[in-house]
Amino acid sequence: MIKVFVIILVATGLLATQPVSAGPERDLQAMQDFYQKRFPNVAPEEFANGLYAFDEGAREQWLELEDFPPYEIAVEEGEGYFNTPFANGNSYADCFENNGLSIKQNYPYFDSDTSKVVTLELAINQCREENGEQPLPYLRGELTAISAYMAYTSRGNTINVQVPNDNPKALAAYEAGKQFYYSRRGQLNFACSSCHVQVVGLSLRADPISTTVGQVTHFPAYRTVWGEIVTLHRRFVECNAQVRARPFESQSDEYRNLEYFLTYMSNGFELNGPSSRR
Amino acid sequence: MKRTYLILLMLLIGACGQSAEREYELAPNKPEPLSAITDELTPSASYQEAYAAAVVAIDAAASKGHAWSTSDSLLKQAQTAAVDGNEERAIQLADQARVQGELAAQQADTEVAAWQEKVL
Repeated sequence: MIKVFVIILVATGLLATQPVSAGPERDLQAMQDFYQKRFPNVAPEEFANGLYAFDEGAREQWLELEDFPPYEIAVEEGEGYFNTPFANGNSYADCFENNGLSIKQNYPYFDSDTSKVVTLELAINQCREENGEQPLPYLRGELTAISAYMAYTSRGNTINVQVPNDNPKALAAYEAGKQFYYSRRGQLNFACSSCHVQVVGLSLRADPISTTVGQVTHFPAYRTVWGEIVTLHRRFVECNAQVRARPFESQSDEYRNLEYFLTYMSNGFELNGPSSRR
Repeated sequence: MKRTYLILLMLLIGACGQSAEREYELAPNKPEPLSAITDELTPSASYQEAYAAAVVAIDAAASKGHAWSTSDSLLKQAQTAAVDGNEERAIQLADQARVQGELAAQQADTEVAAWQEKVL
């Protein structure tokens, strides 16, 4: 009897000391339920359009802008770069499955060999290095254009990021991204979630704040405010700088883990990038 | 008429106070305003001492992934003031940078556990 009591006591103690981790699937469900409750009149698939899902005026302006898409030049340039062979005769198509076309929905993924999250932009530079080329700068220019072209060929595909439950390192990377999203940082003491969850839908200056779900579907995105097409990590850098935190490097472990979490939160949405944003 | 203006003014001040309270509720983990802390600081003995202490504090926050851009900026301003020969100003800025570094590290320590409270 005492033995049984001790076992129960130990088991209870062990359970109590486990960190609270509900798992990616439960997180996604909770996130979707939250936004559905917050915006009951918005069709779930509409969240892929960011703030244009629930701001009629902004949506009209956006749709007008999409008549003559400002990102088209970048897509055309990206196609040119993508199809230009490296010095060794190989090309980007040789590095990716399906010749690099229509594959963005599977990025980022967790690479078990390196125990790191691999984003599409990182894979583009890895491809270059494997073929004896210098890596490209991450924040703007050629790499962004190539990423835009690859995103364009993936339009309409459903985001399908995997966090394997049987891989503790993949789960740890996902959890690190989740922790980043919910952690306050910078002098202004804001977490990503402070805006995109806590006060989502309210206005930050002139624009309503977008939802976490569907947040990555349209990247790389042409931002009117910058007059150029930008990657998701450049947006991370900007967000962190806006709360007066020292931003991390583009493609740092921190941002790649964040992208892993954030993209998982958009699983099931169709890719619709590149797109335009203010 | 004057009395009406006075009442309106008091109501306006009251409303401002309430809105500040609401903002504070949205950010319960807000650190103390910097001035409240720096006012009580005894200035460092020299610029070199203040600068070295600031670098240590900022690096500690950065190692926890929570460095603030404002402390980097203060440190640069301190360097400029020192180069210009304004030691007193340089010390003041470096001390502020150190305090911000300490606050950033404190924020990191708080968020190790606090982030989970915000998860949906």
